Amino acid sequence: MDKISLAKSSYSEWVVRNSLYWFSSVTDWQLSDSDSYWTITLTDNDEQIVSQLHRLLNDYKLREIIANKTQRITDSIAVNVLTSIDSRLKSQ
Amino acid sequence: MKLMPFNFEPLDEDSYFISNIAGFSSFVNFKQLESIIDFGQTFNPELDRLLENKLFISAPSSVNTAIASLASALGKRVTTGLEFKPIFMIVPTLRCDHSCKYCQVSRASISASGFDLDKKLIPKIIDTIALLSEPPYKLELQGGEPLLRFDLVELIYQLAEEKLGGDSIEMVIATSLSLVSDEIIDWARSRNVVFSVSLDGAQLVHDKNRIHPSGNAYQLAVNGIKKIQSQLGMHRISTVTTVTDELIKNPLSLLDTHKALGLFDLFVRPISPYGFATARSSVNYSMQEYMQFYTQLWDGIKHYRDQGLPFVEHSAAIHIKKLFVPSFSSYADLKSPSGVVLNCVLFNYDGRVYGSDESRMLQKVNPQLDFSAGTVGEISFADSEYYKNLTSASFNFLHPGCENCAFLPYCGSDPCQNISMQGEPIGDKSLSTFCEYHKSMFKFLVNKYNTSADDKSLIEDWIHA
Repeated sequence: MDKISLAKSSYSEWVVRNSLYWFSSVTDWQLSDSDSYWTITLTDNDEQIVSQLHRLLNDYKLREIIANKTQRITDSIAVNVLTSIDSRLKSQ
Repeated sequence: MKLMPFNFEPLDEDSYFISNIAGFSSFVNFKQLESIIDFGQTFNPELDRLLENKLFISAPSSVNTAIASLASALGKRVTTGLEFKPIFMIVPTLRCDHSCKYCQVSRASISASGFDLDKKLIPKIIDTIALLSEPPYKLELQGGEPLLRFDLVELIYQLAEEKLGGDSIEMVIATSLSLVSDEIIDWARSRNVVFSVSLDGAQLVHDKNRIHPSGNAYQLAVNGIKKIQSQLGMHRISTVTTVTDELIKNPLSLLDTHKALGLFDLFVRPISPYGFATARSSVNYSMQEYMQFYTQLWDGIKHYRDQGLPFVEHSAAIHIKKLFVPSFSSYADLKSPSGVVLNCVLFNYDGRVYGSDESRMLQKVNPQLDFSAGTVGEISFADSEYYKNLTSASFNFLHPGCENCAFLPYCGSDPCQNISMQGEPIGDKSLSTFCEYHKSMFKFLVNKYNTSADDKSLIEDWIHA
């Protein structure tokens, strides 16, 4: 079993946990952490599997940037939907 | 430019599929994806204009308009998804003359008693349908083998015709066709009735899992298909194919079997992961192997289309319509909120009423629990904890694993399958067969659409299938 260390300054908990979410079907994994690092232990540490994890980590880092940059817009969309329902209710 | 919320999915090579909650989609390469995320634009004026039109990015002065448009599209999708437009399934009998290895409903033997619908319930069932819906009404007779009780089939149609109007009903009979007779054909001739039959491939493949006492399930099905085609017309019969271990090795045999019968419409699906279906059969293929099978089938379809044989595989056509036709939401098995209750009401042979065929399967596997919404004449979905929980747990945009998926706007949820496989309605998507299958199909289709003009043309044809 190999351990993969990821610096917390580079990978948020959201990124790590979302990536590992899709890994349950690939291999068993364990996650532990220290002050500065996430440590992922994979039961199957085949090279292809490890690169699959890194690809997921990279994808989720990008998704995290999108989410951070658009969170206020996403909230506004939800408010717009609810306001539109309210206005329909008031007009009845 | 300002970045708007969107999801992405990596495809083959250096290509990404991107989509947003309005259901708009596009393709970009990795460099463009990074540039959109970092700078809100790709610096390719034509692509940026397209991305702006599709609300992936917005000019700072138009952000509020873009938000309103995305909100409106999301609101429309949710309200459309919540519309109550059911098909009505009726099970005249659970008895069946076949004992298929992967039967999903654990049929009763042909000589068993207590597995037929009480004739007296039929007027109440039709009254309930009239109360619940409006024309056109789609009635689907499921089994067991419905034609074992052809008298009940006739009565259901007759009462539906009287109460709902002959022009307003369409009846689909899901049958093995082993019992289709001249009498049944004559009856169907002047009525709006179509037959749906399982056809799993060539004789050896079909007979391996579909077991009739004569050992001749395939020949009985083929005889029935030919009889219906010659006496009622080609359009009165459709097929459903469940992919078995035998078929997966030879996808082209499925096309040859259909071609020999003059059938060019297929509906192909992997075996259901529900209780009885997997317990008795030996399903040994992975979803990866299924998609290899499907790729060969797809290539075979293209080969025949080049020869002028217009095959359409409707399972892919449904995924394509979900991707490219924003108003398409009528397929109960691929929608969010799920089609349970909203798109299906099932009247079982024992008088119990369910919100989906899968709910009656869950009932069969878990007899100690109640998955019904009551009995004919005493139905309440709102009083059922099961249906309340199922509906509220079936909005996929709230599900972990779905919220960041680029196929979210086109996909659905299957809370019954999650209960069956994982014991709760939301499920871990990384372990979900539903997720793996539909994501694989969406990815396969958008990849094809993006990489080959031939495939793109086929996909565009199937939008209208």
